[in-house]
Amino acid sequence: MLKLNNVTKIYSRGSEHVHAVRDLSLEIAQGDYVGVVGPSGSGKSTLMNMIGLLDAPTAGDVFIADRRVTDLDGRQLNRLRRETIGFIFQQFLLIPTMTALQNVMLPLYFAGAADAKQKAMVLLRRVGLEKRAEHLPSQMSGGEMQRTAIARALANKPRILLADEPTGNLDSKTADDIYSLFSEINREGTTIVMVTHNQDLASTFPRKITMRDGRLEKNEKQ
Amino acid sequence: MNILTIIRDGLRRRKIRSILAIAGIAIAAAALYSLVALKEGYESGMRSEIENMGAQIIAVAKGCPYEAVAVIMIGGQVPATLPQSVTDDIRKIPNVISASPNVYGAYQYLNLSHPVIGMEKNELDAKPWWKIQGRFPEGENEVLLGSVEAAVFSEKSGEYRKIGDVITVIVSGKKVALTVVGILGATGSKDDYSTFTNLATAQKILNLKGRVVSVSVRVRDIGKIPDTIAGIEKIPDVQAVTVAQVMGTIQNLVKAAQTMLFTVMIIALIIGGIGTMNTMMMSIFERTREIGLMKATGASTGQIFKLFFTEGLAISFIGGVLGLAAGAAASLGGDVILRSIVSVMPTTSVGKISPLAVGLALMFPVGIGALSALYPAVRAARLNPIEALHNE
Ligand SMILES: Nc1ncnc2c1ncn2[C@@H]1O[C@H](COP(=O)(O)OP(=O)(O)OP(=O)(O)O)[C@@H](O)[C@H]1O
Ligand SMILES: [Mg+2]
Repeated sequence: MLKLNNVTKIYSRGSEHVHAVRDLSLEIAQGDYVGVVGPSGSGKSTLMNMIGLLDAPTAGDVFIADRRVTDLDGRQLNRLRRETIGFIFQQFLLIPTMTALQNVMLPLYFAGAADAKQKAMVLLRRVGLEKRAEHLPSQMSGGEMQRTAIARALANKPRILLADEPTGNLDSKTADDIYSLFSEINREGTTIVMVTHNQDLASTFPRKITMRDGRLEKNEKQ
Repeated sequence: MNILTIIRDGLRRRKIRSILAIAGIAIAAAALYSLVALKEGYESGMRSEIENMGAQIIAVAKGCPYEAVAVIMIGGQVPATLPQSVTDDIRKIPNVISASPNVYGAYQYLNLSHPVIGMEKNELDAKPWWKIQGRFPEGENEVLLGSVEAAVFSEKSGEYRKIGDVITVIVSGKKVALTVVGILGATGSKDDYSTFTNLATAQKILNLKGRVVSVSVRVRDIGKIPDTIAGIEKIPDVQAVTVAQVMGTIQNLVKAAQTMLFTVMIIALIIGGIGTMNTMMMSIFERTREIGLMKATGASTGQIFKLFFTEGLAISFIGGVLGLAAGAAASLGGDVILRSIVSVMPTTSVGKISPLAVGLALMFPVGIGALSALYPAVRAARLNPIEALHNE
């Protein structure tokens, strides 16, 4: 499903070079549920961005659905990202001028999908927010906003869901609700890669990856 | 959900920003509209005033010809006169079709000064658009009233009601009884505010026996006007100017006032333009993270560009239409202001709707809006999603 071969990412600012990710190889199968842990600055987000096709590696190869990402042009990358990957961010990143429903419809709009409204309503129901469809982000709680963001990430039925500290801004009770939502989604066959600072939680995932200084320190099946 | 609902909801929910951007465009459109409409209106008004004069050349006594002609146009004290015999001399000059002697002056009535013009009956041939109700005042102390004068007199005087009634006016301190024998249909020019009489009556009441103030000359061939003027100026003490020259001089005089008004409007235009650019750019820069997010959720470069550029066009269009309405109102106000500064104004309002002004006032601000949306929209579309997402 997803493969990284000797991937390196170096950020250069003038003469200063930061090795955010060093020579990292990793394989994730369809349906995996992977927790990514590691100290701050260890390269977790950098890794997620490369898997999510938002950023290109400095060296090495990324394969998504058996396609070598470096071979794709901008248009193909965009299409692959849209069709296979869903993103969830710590800050939710909902569009403040759009209702929950419109936020969920947005990826469907960009994909030119038919029946966007019905599909978005189904997704909102799926995350338990059918009553909040017409609310603006400013009228929702943090948990509701993140549920909306999850519904949005699921809009184009991605095979991989990438979540970078999705509960970082939520209290533990709300976080637990979000985690059980992720488990449900995973049980239905979606591959999930989630960055978290919660070691205990990560230990309950079928697979845990530990990063340190841009390297893969541990890769444990549990 | 389509692109227009996205844009509409976005504009509605960012009210202040949207209002600022729309107002900027509207100000620019309004300023431009008034600018062009007033200039157009003034010029076309003056042009029709020239055509109303019916003559191409005016002969006056030597001195300052422009002063003399200004008096003819707006009324006032006559600076110098010519012997009436000059008219016949001019008629003998080649290329002259007709020469109409005129006397100008004023009388007091209802505590106001009213312009009076003495003319020969055959001058009517040069004014085919005149529609006289009643007849031309051929007899002694008979007058023809302009439409506005007739309306005002019948309402306020008490002694004048209809054709045939007498008005008692004051000329240089003496009472004179004048019989109204005709009313001139509305012309839309200063004629509506004038009183006409035959030459002899005007000469008598104005104390100008045997004299004329000017002779209006019509020519057969406009190309030979310089020769005709040379011929007229061979007559002693006579000077000739073309109506076009006079208009040019008057226009130069009023330019100062126009420039002042136009400067204010151009400043409004610039402020509107810069304000628009600023608001448009800010409103896109502010949403850098949204753009990053859209990219992460699969928006293509083209889709982002289309979204933001269409938004800019929508703002510009709404602003343009509102500005046009405001501009139409403002140019009516501008007409009033110009009238209070400039003494020589066309009788018709200079603030009337002009297609050129409408076109320019829509196209230019919408152009500014589109241009100021173009750059940030291109930038937004090209943004690296990671950098955009990290933008605070
Ligand atoms: N755009 C960038 N330019 C320069 N350096 C960067 C950039 N993004 C990340 N880095 C650096 O790369 C390293 C890895 O960053 P990354 O964000 O991947 O860490 P992280 O594991 O996600 O940390 P955290 O847990 O705090 O989110 C850090 O040293 C960071 O400073
Ligand atoms: Mg991070």
